[in-house]
Amino acid sequence: MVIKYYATLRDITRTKEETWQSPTPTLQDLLNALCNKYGSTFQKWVSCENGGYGCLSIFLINGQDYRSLNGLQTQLNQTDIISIFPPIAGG
Amino acid sequence: MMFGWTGVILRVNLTNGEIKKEPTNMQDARLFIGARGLASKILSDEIDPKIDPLSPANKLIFAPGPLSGTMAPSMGRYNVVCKAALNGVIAASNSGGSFGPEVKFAGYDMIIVEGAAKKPVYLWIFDDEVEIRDASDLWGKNVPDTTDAIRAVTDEDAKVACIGPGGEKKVLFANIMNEMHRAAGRSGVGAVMGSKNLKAVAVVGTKPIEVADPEAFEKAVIDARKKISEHPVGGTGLRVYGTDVLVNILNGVGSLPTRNFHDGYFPSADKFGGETLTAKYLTRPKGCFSCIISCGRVTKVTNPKYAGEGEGPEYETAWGFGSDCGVDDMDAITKANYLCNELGIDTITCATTIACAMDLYESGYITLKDTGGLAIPFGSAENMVKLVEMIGNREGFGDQLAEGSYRLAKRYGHPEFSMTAKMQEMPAYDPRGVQGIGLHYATSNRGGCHVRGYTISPEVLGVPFKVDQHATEGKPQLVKTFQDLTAALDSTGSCLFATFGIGADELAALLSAVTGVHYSTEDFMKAGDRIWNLERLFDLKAGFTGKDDRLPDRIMKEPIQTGPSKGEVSHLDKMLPEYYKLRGWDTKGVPTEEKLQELSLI
Amino acid sequence: MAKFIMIHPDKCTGCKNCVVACSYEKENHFRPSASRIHVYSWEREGISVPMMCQQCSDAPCVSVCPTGAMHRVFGSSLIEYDSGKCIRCRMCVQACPFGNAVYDSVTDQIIKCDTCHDDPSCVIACPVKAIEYVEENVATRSRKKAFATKFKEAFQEVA
Repeated sequence: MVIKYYATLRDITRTKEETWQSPTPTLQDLLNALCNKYGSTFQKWVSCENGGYGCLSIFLINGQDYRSLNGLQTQLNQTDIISIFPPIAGG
Repeated sequence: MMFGWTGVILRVNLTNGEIKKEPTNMQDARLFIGARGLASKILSDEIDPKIDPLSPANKLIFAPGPLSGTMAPSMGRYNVVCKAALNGVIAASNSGGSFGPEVKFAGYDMIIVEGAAKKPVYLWIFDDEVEIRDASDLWGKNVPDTTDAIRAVTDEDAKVACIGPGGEKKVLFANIMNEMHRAAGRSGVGAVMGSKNLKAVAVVGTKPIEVADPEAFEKAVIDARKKISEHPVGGTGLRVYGTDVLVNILNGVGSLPTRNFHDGYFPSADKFGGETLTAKYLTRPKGCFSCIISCGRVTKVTNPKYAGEGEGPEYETAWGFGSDCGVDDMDAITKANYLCNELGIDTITCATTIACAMDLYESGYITLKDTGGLAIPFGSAENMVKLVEMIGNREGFGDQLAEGSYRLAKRYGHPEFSMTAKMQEMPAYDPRGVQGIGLHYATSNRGGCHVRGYTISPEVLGVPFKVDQHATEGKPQLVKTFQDLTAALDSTGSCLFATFGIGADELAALLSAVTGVHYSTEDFMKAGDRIWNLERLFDLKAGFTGKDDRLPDRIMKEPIQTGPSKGEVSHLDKMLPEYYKLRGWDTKGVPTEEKLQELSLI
Repeated sequence: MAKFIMIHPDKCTGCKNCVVACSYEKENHFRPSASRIHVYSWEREGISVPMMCQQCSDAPCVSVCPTGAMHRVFGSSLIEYDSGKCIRCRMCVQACPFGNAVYDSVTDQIIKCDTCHDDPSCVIACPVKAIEYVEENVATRSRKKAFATKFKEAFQEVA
């Protein structure tokens, strides 16, 4: 599994992408593991004010928004590409 | 005493040199607010929509809004309204900086320019003193040099809006630049200015703008500032990365138009995304008047081949000269942006017209003979940069591109290569991958354009809520709501980016407090609906019909080839009938009499 | 300890929120020409610099004032303007080396920054902390440290 980071998350993780091999069956499991690895600054960007993950940050699994899949319970496979964006906007 | 509005309109006739100050029609001001809305009302009343946009019969209106010049957050915008040079619709091209507020400080709700001068002139406005001055010496100068030269003979701090060589030569997508780097970019408003022989408008204003209800205003300002600055995207995201941060997310969801919309995914997009811009090109962020977001990018290219300093690129520009031309060289992309700004031409239509030419070239419809020996397959960064200069100066092959992609593709017998809606080039969101934005492109009153119904916010970014980008259900309502909100917002003087934090409630509160005219949220949204229908009526009278509410065949029939949105096409036909119904239009897209009565348009 | 308004042109975005806030605070409307703070922008270089009265210790505006209208507040670093004593001779305007004392013909007053009596509106309005109201030695100390940090980082890269 490859995880790609964007915008401020690149500064926090100090990487653009990494290969992930630890067993994380769902997106929720993966985010738990990443928050453990990268700490509270990372957690602040990917989590909601009232707990949980997402809200304004965007998780794509092979380019599909997790909300159009099975949300945080979406099953992950070893061949997946996960993209994580902090809240962003433009125009 | 006037509140918010100044109550005075400056009217300058360049044919006979007459300068008049007229009272603003306050009944219309209440209904159409200001800026885009009120100026469109005046243009609709005063010109025949069928006129040649480059004839003296066209009028050019510089219009800030009632909130311009106040401390309401991010109120640096003004609109340039006229009949569009590029596609003959009603144009309202929006720009930031301090020019709009300065017009208000000089005492005017707007400046209406009529007729055409016999020789180049510029307008010098210092409060009540207004002069039409000779601009023969300025003709031919680029935007920064014009700005400096005018300041040298007027006031060193004058706010200057001008055209570059692009506008002088009536490049159909020439823009009007103010304070060197801010652009009223789309629809070719700069060509209209050029057709009037008007090189620039320079303004210094020292008058006050009064607030009707200071207590309510202060409360509304504190509330709006807090909501924008505490919002994760308005508060910090845009200031740190600029709008170009969108490259990776749009590519990530497979909706970054690539090689003239042949595809929606570009593998090396990261090379011209906001992260790269911030790391390698950004000097500092810049903010327009009263802005608390500061998305502007002061940048620098050090590579000697493309060296320069300036502002940008914004997302649209990076995309246009980037993936749409099949280029990933950020030095070249940024240089192309600088050249557009100096020459005074729209980056979106310029880049996408070059992309169209590349497409025609690769298909063999345009040959080396046509281009004057310039090889232009997709990805030719160096020749792309050369073409920008040739377009701005209408040199050689550039002269053909200066007419925009629609006329170019038609000239070579393949109009289907032009990625336009109502003859204006679509911007940086693939309507096959994002369904709602496609409906917006097709129905936008100024043709292909993203800033009048930015459904990308909910469809991709999840702001303020998330909807499925591939779904068509619910999109007609979403598009209508965004179009109405934006029409009203554009008419206040506000920046669209304020909506990454505030909405109709907050804007209505600010507008009511400043003007003393009570606008409920419903009144505000209804004003937006009214403005939208007013513009629609203009376009219909200009000769457009419901049949023009469409997208190119490529978008309807040729699926995206690779990436996450592979296989998708636009389902515009599923959404359009429902959109007409929600709008109160008949099946041919014409507003019904009941609708027009409801909106006080008849 | 005395406070003063410290400017950071490197952070200034040129948005003029300070300008409008000042004019509204002092004149109850929006009129940048009546603002006590101005922001000058060099558009080619993309640099903006806010300017306002520096409350000089040895202030030319005070020295030249024939009536004592422009005076130092006892025990404070603030220079205050007393409109009642002022004869509108504009000597202070002539004397200020920064151009920060200005005669406003609309109100018939000399306008210059008085730090809003220790609570400057411009500072509150600045969205990027390009102007700060800080203790004098604290301000310079943190600027020194910011440069020291750059040295440190350069040193670390070398080492």
